[in-house]
Amino acid sequence: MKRVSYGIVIFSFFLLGQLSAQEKSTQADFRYGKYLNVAALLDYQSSRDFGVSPLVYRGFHYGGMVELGFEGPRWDISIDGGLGVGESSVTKVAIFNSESTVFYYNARFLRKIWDKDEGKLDFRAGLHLGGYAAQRVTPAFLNASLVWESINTLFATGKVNWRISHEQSAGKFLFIRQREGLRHIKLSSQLSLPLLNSVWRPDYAYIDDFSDGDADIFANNKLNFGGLRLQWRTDAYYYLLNGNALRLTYLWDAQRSANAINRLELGHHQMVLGIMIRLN
Amino acid sequence: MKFSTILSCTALLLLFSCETLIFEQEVADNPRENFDYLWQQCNDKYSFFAYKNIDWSAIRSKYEPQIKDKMTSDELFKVFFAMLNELKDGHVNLISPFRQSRYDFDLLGPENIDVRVVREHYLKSDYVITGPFEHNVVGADRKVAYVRYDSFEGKVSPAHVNYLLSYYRNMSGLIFDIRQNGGGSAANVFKILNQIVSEKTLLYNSYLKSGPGPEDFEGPQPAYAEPNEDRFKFNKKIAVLIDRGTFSAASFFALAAREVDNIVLIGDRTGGGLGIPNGGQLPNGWTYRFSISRTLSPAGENFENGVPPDIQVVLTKGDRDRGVDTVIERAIQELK
Repeated sequence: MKRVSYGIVIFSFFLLGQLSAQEKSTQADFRYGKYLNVAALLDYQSSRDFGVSPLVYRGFHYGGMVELGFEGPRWDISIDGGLGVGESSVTKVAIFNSESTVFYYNARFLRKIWDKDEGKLDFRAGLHLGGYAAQRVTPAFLNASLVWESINTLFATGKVNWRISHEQSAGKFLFIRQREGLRHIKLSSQLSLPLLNSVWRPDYAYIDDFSDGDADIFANNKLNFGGLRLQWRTDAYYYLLNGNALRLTYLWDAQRSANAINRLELGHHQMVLGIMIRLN
Repeated sequence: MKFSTILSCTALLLLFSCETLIFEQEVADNPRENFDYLWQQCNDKYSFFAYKNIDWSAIRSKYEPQIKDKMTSDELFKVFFAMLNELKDGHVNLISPFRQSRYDFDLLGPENIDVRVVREHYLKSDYVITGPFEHNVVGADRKVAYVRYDSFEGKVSPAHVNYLLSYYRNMSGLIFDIRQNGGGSAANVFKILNQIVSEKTLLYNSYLKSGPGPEDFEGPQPAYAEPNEDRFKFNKKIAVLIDRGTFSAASFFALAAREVDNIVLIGDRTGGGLGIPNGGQLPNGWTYRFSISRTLSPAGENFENGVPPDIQVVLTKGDRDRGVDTVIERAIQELK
């Protein structure tokens, strides 16, 4: 956990550096282009794994993610990956803890379908491949305490972008010096609905039969299709004069696996703060 | 501003109501719900209903009337304890912060070892400790090796096993005593037997529960011992001593030993425990475990109620009082 905290501190310094060192870019419209987004995330996770417990474990996860993307007047393409670590718990006759390490990965391909006011408002639609892989350790579940699972979903996705601009006068925002100039802000909202949902996780017996001498925790994992997953995110972009941007994201991701007896229910409320570094 | 606030609140409300689409309602934490949950989990996943001829629905009818809306957690625990003990399985436990249920499989047979007698009259004061093994030479003519192994917990090193076999290479045989060995890691079965077998040997087949029906299993998952290339080739006879306290991984060892030519099982039937126990949690947070697999001999025999010995020997009171271990003495005879 300490490493994550150090990472967040370093990232915050990096962010402040970017904010205070704005130089005007010669680029005409830097709302479009290639970018690398480096972000810190805070995730409030709820999970219930009926294979081992009817109780909902809740807790915060911390981590970071990296995204490589391209946003043009017509296309919106991005891939991202991230890592979160944290502890969830439930309080009953005692406090039961569950530690997890979560890997996130996404790929999005969207094409502009409609726009208004010379692109100030547009709607893009396309495909979104969203993945999640996790390792959870819950000592209360005895031989079933360690689990690996992966959820991968192909979504149909739609995104609304609203671009606004305003003239910034020179001044200070908190302790950050603000230069005068035209500032661009973008707000977007994206809803992803599942086309194909798959879950790879422990099957009926839940644990591997390790009586053959090999403790292979993946041996009893099975791939199942079905279930339900929804994802909704809202992003706020603040473009800096040097072409980089700050992005604040709220993401809600909830899923339920198809497997009736060992069903997994998961909910994520994520806040992601990142700096988008312009690559062209 | 007002509009955006209303919009945000509506969006958040919508999200949290969407989450109820994903998340089932929380299971109530009361005695009846806990009883139903535990009964259902066992009903769907326990692996020996058919073998043990247990009518789990009848068990429900027997214990359900004892569940009251208002009963203390100790009272509830006692009902669950009694219900689970109907399974007669040492791999079945219920754990609350202050109590743990168990099934005393080791009391099903006569006491077949007196550890003090073994320490004083067989291991004696000059016994050697090699890893998890305690050993010495026994018998009137001191031609038989005796190795005591009382737990499969922890890791066995093949080097330790090799050392024992090499050290006692001039003996007429070796006694490997796993009486009152309550088990541990099944991986140790292979660490030991891979040093003993001379060819790849099928030890047993395991089957994992795959559905709610009493005979819904997937498998077989075969378990083999494969001779370790660096092993010391010990071609003398080995007597494995077992009793009712030989359980779980130790019982797997006894089951496996039946398939090895130069091993003979002496003592009393083991305590069984040939099903792998899972783990889980009740709505009130108590933890449970029960068997979710079954293991059969290569010939298809199910020894969940205990692996039988090749030679049945019971420790007699007279011998015990004289400082003699009847089972070890019979093994010495067998190995001469």
